[in-house]
Amino acid sequence: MDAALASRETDATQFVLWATALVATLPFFWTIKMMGVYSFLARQPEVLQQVVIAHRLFFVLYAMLAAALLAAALWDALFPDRQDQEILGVLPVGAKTVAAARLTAALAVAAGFLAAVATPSALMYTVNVAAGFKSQALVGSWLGTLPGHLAAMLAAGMFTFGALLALRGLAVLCVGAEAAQRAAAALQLVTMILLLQVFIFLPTVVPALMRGLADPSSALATPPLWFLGLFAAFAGPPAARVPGLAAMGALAPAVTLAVAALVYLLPARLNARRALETRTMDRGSWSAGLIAAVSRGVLQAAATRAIFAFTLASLARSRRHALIIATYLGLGVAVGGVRLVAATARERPLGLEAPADHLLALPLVLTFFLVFGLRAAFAVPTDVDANWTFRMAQPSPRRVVHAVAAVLMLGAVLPVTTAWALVTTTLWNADRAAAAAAMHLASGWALVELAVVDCRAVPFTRAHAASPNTVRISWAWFLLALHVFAFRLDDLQLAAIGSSAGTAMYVAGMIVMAAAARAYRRWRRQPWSVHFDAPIDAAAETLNLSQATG
Amino acid sequence: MLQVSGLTKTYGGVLAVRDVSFSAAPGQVVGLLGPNGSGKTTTIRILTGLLTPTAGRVTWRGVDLQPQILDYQARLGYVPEEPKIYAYLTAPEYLELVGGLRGIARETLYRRINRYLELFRLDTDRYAPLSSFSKGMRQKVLIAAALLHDPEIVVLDEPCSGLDVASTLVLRTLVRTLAERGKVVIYSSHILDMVERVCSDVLILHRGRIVAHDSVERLRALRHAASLEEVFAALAVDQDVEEVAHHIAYVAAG
Repeated sequence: MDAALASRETDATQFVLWATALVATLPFFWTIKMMGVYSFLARQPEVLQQVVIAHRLFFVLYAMLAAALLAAALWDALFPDRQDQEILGVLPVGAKTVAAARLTAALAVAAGFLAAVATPSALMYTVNVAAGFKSQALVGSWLGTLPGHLAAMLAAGMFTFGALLALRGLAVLCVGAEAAQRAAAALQLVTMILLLQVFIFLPTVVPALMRGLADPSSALATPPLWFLGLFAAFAGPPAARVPGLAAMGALAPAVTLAVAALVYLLPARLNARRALETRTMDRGSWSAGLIAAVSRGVLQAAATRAIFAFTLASLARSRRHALIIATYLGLGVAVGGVRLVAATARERPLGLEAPADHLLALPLVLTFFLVFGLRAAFAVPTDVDANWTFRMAQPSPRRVVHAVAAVLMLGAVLPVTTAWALVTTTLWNADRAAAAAAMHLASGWALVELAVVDCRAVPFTRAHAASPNTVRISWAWFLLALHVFAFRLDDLQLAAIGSSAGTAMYVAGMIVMAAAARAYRRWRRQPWSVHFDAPIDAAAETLNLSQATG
Repeated sequence: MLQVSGLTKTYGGVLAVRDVSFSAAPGQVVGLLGPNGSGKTTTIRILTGLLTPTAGRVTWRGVDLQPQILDYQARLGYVPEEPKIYAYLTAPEYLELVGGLRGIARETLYRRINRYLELFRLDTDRYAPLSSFSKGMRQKVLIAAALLHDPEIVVLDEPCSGLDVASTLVLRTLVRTLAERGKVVIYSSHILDMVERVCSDVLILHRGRIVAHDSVERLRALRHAASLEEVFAALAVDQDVEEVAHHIAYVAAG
């Protein structure tokens, strides 16, 4: 866990409990939402049968996605690192024993996690099915539903978990540890973004899978349908059983887990040796040079430049923080995608040849999520014990804010603006493309200035409060800000893009907003100093250097 | 002149440092000795401004530290006991971070960094992350970081930790040279031989209190001891070392 998402300052137990509860919440509440549906549809048997299959498929897919999320977070922990080998390598314990222990622990975590995610929805779904007892022939036996639900979700999840672990292990064997590490890092980020898309667009994926049931050979080649068959083997009804699917559903997890076991156990000694003998050389060379060049070119003040370069280097080299940003980016892509899909439903086909509010909203949504994703990442420390470097130097708050704003502009606003300019250049004429890019740049700058109004800490240096504070986010304010920034400014941009005067007024308005935010920040700033300690909270466990004993 | 008067620090009812007083003038190397838990590191952290005392005061040039803490820390170079460092940065990146935070001009900073890397023989590893450095290599980076801005006060807490013999010899001469250049040097170490060679004055702490404070020669003469080790053992070691060592060797046998 420490290798992926949580820093060592986090209370591990609370983090795991909160994360599991979060993942278990969606299917549970979804099951509550569909209470009474089966009784309602009892008079329409064809519709009811399709609905039952769709619901069961949802649970199967959800379990697979949850397992994929867990695998992406855990898979690096299965390989020994240098520190592990320096401690364990001198003990009379075989490398295969250690690898087997790690793998068993990972599988136990996966099984426990999936059981925790599946059980609440299994219980509630069983109640749903029992409530639709009049249509039992179509919805299945409620006595078999509970074990069927649990078996299907667990089997689907363990199959996915085992398959991803096996792929990761094979990658190390085939391309070597360093290359596999880099590919895995990229894969982890892409997985996070894709998973969020599938979560959001699940209702469109399920019908596509259901069409595969019509063709047995196609069904046998579609993993989610195997576990649907397993579900039906327990719960019935007979009409839902497709020959061979249940057997595949039962065998598939065993096969992937067996392959994963082989892939980790057989080369265990080789992996252990590599952990000690492979020296991480030149990993920093290209990024160090690039970061130094960017910071030299962008900022003049020494302290601002130092904090800026430190922030960029930390972002570039911390997998944990990259995952946080990838999560926010994935959410941004999903929210923007939902807006596009909704627009497509209204206007068939989707018109791209002229500016429209749903098109103009896309970069605004992405920028919004990237800016706040970066802010969220900044609050998680990279190494709290090392922040004495900043405590000794005590950078001025003004320098800190300038550096943070520069990173937000460089990391969020400029990339999206550049990409948007390229897209609009191909879609529209040069004038409109320039206007759209200028308006987006100005909007992004205003957002950044607003986002740093309450900036009090150097990124990654502040002791992190325990997980209850971490999970508690001001959802209402966040949604309101998103609505205003992404879904109201797009209307203003649409009205302005038609004329240069309109565009100029819009840009001027954003500049005024940015200047006002900056002025407010300066007025509010005195007197405060840069913070390094966690927010005061009785429930928090923090590392606080100023309280450390000698 | 760095003046410490009646320094006391309490953590939740536990008295870590009690009524410690001493002074350190430019050109002096003051050694700080003491067993684990004697209050050595607490004292050092107060001297560096990372902790505030419960009672007593620390003054620099006659002015209390706290009102001028930023100015004081700008003149201070500190090598901590534990090499806690941002391990994902390279050595030049870490030194650029420290130098930038201290406001050193760009060209000057790069020149100094390159020179330090060359002198510490770290230039071939300039692109490797600090996580791949040995303990001694990280220690060299911390020493360079502490001297980057030419501080007036240098506080070294176990600076030889992890260093090879050659580097330790270099450090010994470095400490003397820094003192000759008029700097105030506070040197804390468990390596008594090193302390004996480089320090002009020695402070021995035991259970938060000063149990000895004088030059090495005077302490040896007063205690009729042949070495600082004998002085230390007499004043700050509570246990019979021969007996304890014997028992440790035979724990697993019995």
